[in-house]
Formats: sequence, structure tokens, C-alpha cells
Amino acid sequence: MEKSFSDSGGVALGAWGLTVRYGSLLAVDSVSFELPPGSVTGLVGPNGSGKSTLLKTLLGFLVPAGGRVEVFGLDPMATPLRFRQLIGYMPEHESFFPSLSGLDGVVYAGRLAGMPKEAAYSRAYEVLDYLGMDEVRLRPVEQYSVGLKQKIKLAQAIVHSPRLLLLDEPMGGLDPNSRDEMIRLLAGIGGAGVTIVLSSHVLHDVEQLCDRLLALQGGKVAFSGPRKRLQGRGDNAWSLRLKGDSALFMEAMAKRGIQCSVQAAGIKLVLPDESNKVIFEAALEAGVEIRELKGGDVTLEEAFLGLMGGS
Amino acid sequence: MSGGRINRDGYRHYTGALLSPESRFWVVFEQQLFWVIRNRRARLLLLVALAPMVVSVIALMARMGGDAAGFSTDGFVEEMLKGMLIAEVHIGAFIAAAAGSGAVADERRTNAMLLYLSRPVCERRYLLAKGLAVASLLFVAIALPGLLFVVADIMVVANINLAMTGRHALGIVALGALVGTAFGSTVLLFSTLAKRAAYPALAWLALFYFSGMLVGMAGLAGDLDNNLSMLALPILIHRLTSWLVEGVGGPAPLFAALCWIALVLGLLVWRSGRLRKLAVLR
Repeated sequence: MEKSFSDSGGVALGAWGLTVRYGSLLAVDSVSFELPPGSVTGLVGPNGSGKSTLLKTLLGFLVPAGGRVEVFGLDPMATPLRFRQLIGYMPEHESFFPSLSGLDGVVYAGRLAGMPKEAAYSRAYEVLDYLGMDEVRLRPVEQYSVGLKQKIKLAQAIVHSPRLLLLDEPMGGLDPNSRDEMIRLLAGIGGAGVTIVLSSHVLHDVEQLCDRLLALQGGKVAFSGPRKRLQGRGDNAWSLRLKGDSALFMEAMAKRGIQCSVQAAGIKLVLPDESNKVIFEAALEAGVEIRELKGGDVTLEEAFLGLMGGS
Repeated sequence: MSGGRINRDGYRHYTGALLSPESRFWVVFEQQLFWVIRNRRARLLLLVALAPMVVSVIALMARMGGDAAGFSTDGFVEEMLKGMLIAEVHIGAFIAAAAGSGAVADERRTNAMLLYLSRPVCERRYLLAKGLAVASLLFVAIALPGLLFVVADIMVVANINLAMTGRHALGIVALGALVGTAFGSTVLLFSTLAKRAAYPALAWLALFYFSGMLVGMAGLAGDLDNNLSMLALPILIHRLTSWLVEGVGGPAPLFAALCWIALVLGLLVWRSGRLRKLAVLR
């Protein structure tokens, strides 16, 4: 029997043993995770890690070879129309209704989601104003700049007030100012209780916006949970200064599966566990002297590098 | 209405009413009709479609003026009407190319399929709504001039045969519906196969006119009684019009047209199942 939203047990979006294949290629391998309602989750991972495939499967575009997905208790494959009523999707690539102005496109998107014509117009005006597009709303979308095209995709995705927003590279192609503005807008939407899943290559954006992370590597879940938990692995994060050839040291660490980053403050790295013995081993191997070694906070990028290198 | 104005109070949820999933069919239909009517070429061709009617009415009036004393116009009117309708159908082939070729192709080009597929719109209804919009326009382009001619016939001819005129009107409506559905659905099917409107338009016109040439080359076109000659679409249209307007020949052209429509609608339903894959593959 179909579950109602309230039966979903506090899970906005969940996948259990989700497996997706392209022919013989295993793109997503037994992925399981649960996202609570109102969370803003960053879907991260290197190229080819299965992010796009996972997103397309969550949308019901791809049929999984195994496992199941639920969105507020609904199965996207079993009840596609009810499921789609709950979601908003912002595709990565350019995507708009041909020959329509920004306003008409958003109205049409709202009407396709079941909004009456007058309500769709009213809401479209509000959404475009909210996104700072009121002055360009009557221009054809074809003539929009990259930044405006990103915003119109977001407007089309939120006009019908989805409970779950799936965003594929929403900051792609944006300049720093537009990027900050997009982050501010998405934070506002997330703040209103909309569950957001954001796929992005730019970890800085994810760090600013997301409270949870779903990291994929090789089609498997490398990390799923609160972002602070990953970054909070401060015990495993180290900052060091060396005397000698630091390149040799980084090479020695890489051989041990640990990626280092060079910063003004020295070399930073995140170890897979709390023991720092491996640092001394690598220093010995590289023939360098450790001048300073201290634990410290890590950026998401450092934590992510540690996660990817260590797993 | 939404719970607060989001542009003033920050993001708010829409809490107003939502229409039934079935209503989305008419939303897609209405939008497609809007696109078709806004298409400049389609509008121009719709005007051109009135030309055969105007010429026919002028010819009818000239004939009546020249030989008004007790002259029976039945045969003349039928010939005139049939010729006019065949001309309308040929113009209709071009209207179908202009109005229907971009229905799906343009949306594939702009990647709009993802927007449909992430909304509560059934893929099959999406295609059928678009097909109905194109077919409706073709119905108007073919049937309206024909019906206007019938009205002129009633007004101009003194000793009108009402039974015959009624049959003409019914035949015109049936022809408009059959040709509109057949042309509209075929062009739409082609439109699902491309990302540029020009290709389905050319493919449709090539099918329409080259089918006649190929059937002629196969030696089938010379004998109009041979049902295989209806593989040539212009011949099928000619025989269908003759049967519907003059009652000449059997109902074979009607069956052929219905088979064509059933085949194309079946293929469209099959294509609707492929839309997700098309969207994912871009």
C-alpha cells in the first residue's frame, strides 16, 4: 500500500541498495542513504563517480537494476505523476521552453504542475521578482545571459513550490557575484523548509550552502551525513612545515593514498584515522625534516581530498 | 494563492489549489496551439488556404450570372468543391510541415523535454495533446474554406438541393477531421525523431509527394481502381475526397485513411515511451 507523506518516517529522500547499470557498466553500486526533510545536501564526487546517474535515477529517468528509492514515501517508478508533483528539477544544461519569454516559460512550468492560470501568473511574477528578474521577464529566454538562464531554470523549478529540489550544477558558468547571489537565493529556499539536493563540483559552494554531504566515489557512497561530521574530523587534519623538498614528501604521502594541498600556511592534509605515524614515515622516506606539525580545522575541500584519498 | 508574497517576505510555499492531472493535457494543447498560431509561416499558409475558396466562389457566381435560367449546378458545384478541397489538402500538407514539424523537435533542441518529464505530465498525453493541436489547425484550414463555399452555394444558387448540400457539408467535416489527424500525427511522429524542425518538415513533404512518384514508378498509379495506388498519398487524398463529396468509389479510401491514422498513433504511443531516454541522452 502506498505511503502518505507522513508515513515516510522522517525521510524526505531515501535510497536503499540502489544499483544502476549502463549495459555491463556498473554506474551506481548499492548506494544507500537517507536525507531528512528540510536538509540541504551536497552531492559531490569526482567526474564519473555516478552523481549525474544517481540524480537521473532519483528523478525516475533511469530505471535502477536493483534497490529502491523513496521520496516522501513515494516510489518514483510506481507513482511517477504524484512523485513529480513533489519535486523541482534544475538541469545542468540549458533548458527552456522554445520561443517563450521568461515570464511565459515560468507560467507554463507552473501550469504543467497543475496551477490554475491566474495563480501561475501571480506566482511567476513573485518568483521572478524574488530572483531579481523582474526587468527581463518579458524578454525571450534565448536572449538571456548565462546567469539569467541559470536563474530562469531555478524559477521554473520552484514556481509550483516543490518539497524536494534537485539541482544539477546550479552555479555552473556563473561569475563570482552571480554565484554568491545564487547561493543566497538557494539558502533562502532551503531556509523555508524545502529539501534540497545540490550536485556540484565546486566544494566551496557546497560548504557555504549545505548542511549535509553525500559523497560518491566509483559509484559507491564514500560519505553520507552531516557536513560538520566530515569537516569535524579535525583530529585527522594536520598542517605542517617542512625543511627539504616538499614535492618528495607529497609524493611519498600520495603513495600511501593521502592527498596533500600546499597553502600559504604550509602543507595541509587529512589522514584516514587519528594516527599521524604515516606523516613521519613519509618524511623519512622523502628525506625531509618536519619543522612544525599541528592539528587544525579543515576546509571541505581538504576533508574531501582526505576522504577520496583515504578510501 | 501563495502563503505570502515571496518577493516581499522571502521564499514562501504555494498553498493554492492544484488542477487534476488530466487538465495538463489541455495546458499542453493550449500552449501548442498558441505556438502554432504564432508561427508566421503557418499563419501565411492559413491565409493562402482561403484562396481556392475565394476563386471557387467567384467562379460559381460567374457561372450563375451567365446561365441563371433554370440551370442545374449540382455537377458543377461538386466538381468545383472537389477541386477546391484537393487544393486545400495540398496546402494543408504545407501547413502541417510549418505548424507541426517543430512541435517536439524544437523542445528537444532547447532541452525542454527534461522540464516536461520532471513535471506531473504523462508522456503519452503530452504527445497526443500536441498532435491534437496541430490536427485542429489543419481541420480549420481544410474544413472552414469548404464550409464557407457551401454557405456561398446556398446563398447563390436558387434551386438548391438541400440533401446534397448537407452531404457536402458532412463530407467536408469528415475530410477535415481525417486529413487533419493523419497529417498532424504523421508530422508529429517525424518531429519526435529530430532536434531541428526543418528535418521533419522536409521528411513529411518528401513522403507526401515522393510516395506518389514511387507508386507511379511501380506502375500502380495509372489505375485508380487499384487499391495499392493509395500508397501514393496524393492519390489516397483524391479518392477520399471523391468518395466523401461525390460518393464516387467505395469506402476503401476511408479504411486506408483510418489504417494510416491507427498506424501513426500506435507509433506515437510507442515513441512516448522513448521520451525519457531521449531526454537523458540529450
